[in-house]
Amino acid sequence: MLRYLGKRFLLILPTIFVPLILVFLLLRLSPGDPAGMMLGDQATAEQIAALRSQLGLDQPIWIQFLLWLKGIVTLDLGNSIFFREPVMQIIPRYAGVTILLTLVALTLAVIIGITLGLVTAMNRNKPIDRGVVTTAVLGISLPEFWFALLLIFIFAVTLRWFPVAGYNPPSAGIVAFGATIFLPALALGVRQSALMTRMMRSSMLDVLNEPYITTARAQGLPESTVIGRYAMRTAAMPVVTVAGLSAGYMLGGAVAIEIIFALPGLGRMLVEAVGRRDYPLVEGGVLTISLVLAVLNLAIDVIYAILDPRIRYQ
Amino acid sequence: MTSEPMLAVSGLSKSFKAVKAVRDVTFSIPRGKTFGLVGESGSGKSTTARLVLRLVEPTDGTIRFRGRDLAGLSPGDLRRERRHMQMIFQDPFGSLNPRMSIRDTLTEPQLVHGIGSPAEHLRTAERLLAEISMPRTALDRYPHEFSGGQRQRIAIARALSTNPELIVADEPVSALDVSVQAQVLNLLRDLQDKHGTTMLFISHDLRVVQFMCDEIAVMYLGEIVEQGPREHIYGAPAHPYTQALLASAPGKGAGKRARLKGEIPSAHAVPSGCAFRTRCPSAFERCAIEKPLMRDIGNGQKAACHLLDEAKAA
Amino acid sequence: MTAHIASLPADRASPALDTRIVLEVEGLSLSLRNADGLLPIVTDVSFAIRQGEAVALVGESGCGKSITASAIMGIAPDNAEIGGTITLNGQAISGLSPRARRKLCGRHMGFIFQEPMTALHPTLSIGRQMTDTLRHNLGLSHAEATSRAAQLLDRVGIPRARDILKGYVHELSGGMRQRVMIALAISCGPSLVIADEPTTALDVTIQAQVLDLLDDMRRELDLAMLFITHDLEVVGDFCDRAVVMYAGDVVERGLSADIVRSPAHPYARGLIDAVPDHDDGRTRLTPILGTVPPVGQWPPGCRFAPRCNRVDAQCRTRPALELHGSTEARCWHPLEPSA
Repeated sequence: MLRYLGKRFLLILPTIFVPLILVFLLLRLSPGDPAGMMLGDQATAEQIAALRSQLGLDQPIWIQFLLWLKGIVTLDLGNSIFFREPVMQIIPRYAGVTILLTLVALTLAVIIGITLGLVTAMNRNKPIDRGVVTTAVLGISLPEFWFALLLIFIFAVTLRWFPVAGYNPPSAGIVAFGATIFLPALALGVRQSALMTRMMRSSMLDVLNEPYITTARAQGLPESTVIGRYAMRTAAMPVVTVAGLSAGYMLGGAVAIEIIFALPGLGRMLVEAVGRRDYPLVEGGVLTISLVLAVLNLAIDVIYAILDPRIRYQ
Repeated sequence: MTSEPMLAVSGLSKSFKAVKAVRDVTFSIPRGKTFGLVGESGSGKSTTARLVLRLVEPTDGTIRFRGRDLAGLSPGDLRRERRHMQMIFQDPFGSLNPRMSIRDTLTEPQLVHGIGSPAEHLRTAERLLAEISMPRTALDRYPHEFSGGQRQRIAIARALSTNPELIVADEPVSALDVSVQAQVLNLLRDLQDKHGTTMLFISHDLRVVQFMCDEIAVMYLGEIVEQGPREHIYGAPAHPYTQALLASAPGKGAGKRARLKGEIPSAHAVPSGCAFRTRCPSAFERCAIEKPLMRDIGNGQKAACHLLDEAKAA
Repeated sequence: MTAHIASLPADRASPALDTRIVLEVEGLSLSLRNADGLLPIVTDVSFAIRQGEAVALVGESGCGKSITASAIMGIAPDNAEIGGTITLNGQAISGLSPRARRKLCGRHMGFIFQEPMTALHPTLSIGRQMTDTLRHNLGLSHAEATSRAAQLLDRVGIPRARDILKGYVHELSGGMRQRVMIALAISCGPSLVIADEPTTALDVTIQAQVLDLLDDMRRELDLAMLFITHDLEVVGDFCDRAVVMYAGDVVERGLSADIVRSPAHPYARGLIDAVPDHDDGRTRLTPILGTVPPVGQWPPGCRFAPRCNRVDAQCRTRPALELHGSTEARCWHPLEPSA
């Protein structure tokens, strides 16, 4: 088991570093200069050059990258060019919202996906199955922001069950937190839940045809045990696999959702930092997202290994 | 006509990492004869078949086919040589390309090997269809339109389409129902008689091997343990494994015959000395220490067992 | 009630004739409902199994033998329409609700599948699968169920039973898997065990071991056993009586020794002749011509007629299952019994 997890961890390392390298290069290759932006239109060429050398931007790119890597190891990601304070202090203020949003959205998506997948598989070709499957196709094809606006219109504007926008941290109480996180999380999770519904449905239908399900029935086990323990255990595995991918999509989709619902999250922070060419903050934000994704995927590997003993011994 | 055998395999071995799948296999097949490899799963019989065709590269040993050493051939020469050796697989569903019509299935090998003109290809295909008792209309149909037995007959026709000198048939009737199996076996023998094809026939079914083969080699854990003419192998088996294999076959009455204990050991951990000793009812001290060599016991029969030495010494 | 058994001549009676009847299947038919209507799969299957007796259900793929077994177990597909009566230990079970049928499974009927690799759960431990069954059916505690499971594994010849309980199906060899399957099937003390091609997926030497084990279990536990197979030679070795099926029909029924030695139905004869003979050299085999007609394309009258070499005009009407010599056959022109 430990060996398996060690192997998975090594495989995850590239998923952290490849995006970092890409972002590092893209930022520096794209037009726009942080020094110029900070000093405004009136700055002289000398002033800009002086600031550039102060920020280390006059060095070759690979030296900059190595310096930055060194910073990661020493837990010093530099100072934000815009905020003029350490990136390591800014990121935590925003990361919590995004992580919570993604986790709640992922949980909602998995619960909705597995439940609807189970219901449709058990009622194959009946009206409820057809209804859900059709809705799921619709759900997959609609973009998150559209769904977010729809949710706001129905539940916040018309029914007034939830606030239109804004954020209460969990420290404000679970109800207050829930009220501000539920709609964004639902909007963020809906596409993935539609995907998981379809996945769960087809995997459940496959599993129900497996001989070991017939064996469980032939042993006289009640249908609730046959479905709940024998079939679910294997049928849920593809959904768990997909959950890892979904987490990645969600972290990306969080940008739009955070902007629509005015959540002070990493996504919004990143968009603003890119606009300001705030290199250290953008790189710190991407590093954080990569790390969150890596940890989530590692957690999913653990769940997978618990569900499937065959994995543990490979 | 030379008296050299069609196929002569000597000291053939294959290791996959630490697993010695085939060890020191030596046999030869005279022109026009059928040689049977019989054994249970893990005996290395299928790997031997693939080695002979050089679909798998041997770790050691030589394969002389039509008087030439296959190992010494360049890739181009090997490809040209392949038209003279064809294979029939176990699974008639997997071995035919579902998107190729029967016409294409039967003409493609000739095209690939550059035999004759397109018109001749078609004539050969038509002739082969007649030989496997199928109507000409089958040409424009696809594999899924045929039953398992019919597909296997088509696979045989395809193998014959390049007019090969050697056919390697790997469990060609194992996937078929008994009544269909008989049709295919008859067909194989008729076609062999007609074309004078040499055949390497692999099967786990002793009854089928007895029906098909002139000479038989019994394999256990990657080695040949006994070899000889059909009537002697079945009439007077010398190796305890051959004896047990024959005794285990159904149709001998339910009396409590000596059954082999245990199962075939893993190829990762082949027992010392004689590989069969862990299951052998007559194993003694020497069997664990010393590997028995293949010894001639007359009538063209050979077996690798210390009991044969002891009997002679006594 | 047991007319077809009583109609056998007394001297050819099954060795188990004096024991009680465990399973009786009378006029069983099964059709699958699909978009086009009802598709008949099995028609008019009747046989009985007594305590301690092994009865073979023989036929090639597609003859309806496996679905007959699933109808007896009450695990036929949802779209199956089943007719006829099934009686288990004197109780008519064919009319029971699905829930009541499920309760008979495990406790009164055990099932052994062809491919234990796929018939056992891939990600639940062997112990979990066995104790789930024992606890549900017999109301045992976890500890009781675990120790009973270990005893059962021990009984079917599995060494280190306690360790195996913690393991998973992929860690076992083919023979061990089938032993676990047998232990599971007999775990709750059923009176009937149905084995569907239990040795087909196994190597020859392992096949013999598993057949011996099944035979031992039948004798020791006095089980009624329904043995589904395509191999008539296995039937001759291990079964008292045999029911030969072709295209959803019973075509011959009788003592297995009689059927193997001197079948009355041309199809049964064909099955025997199609197998290469041990003692024969390079002669030709006698195959049955053509292929089994697919379900839904059965000819009227005798379903074997298109492949039969004894066919005539009479075969256009359906023959009844009648006694010819020592066995019963559904044939207008049965073969003469050989001496």
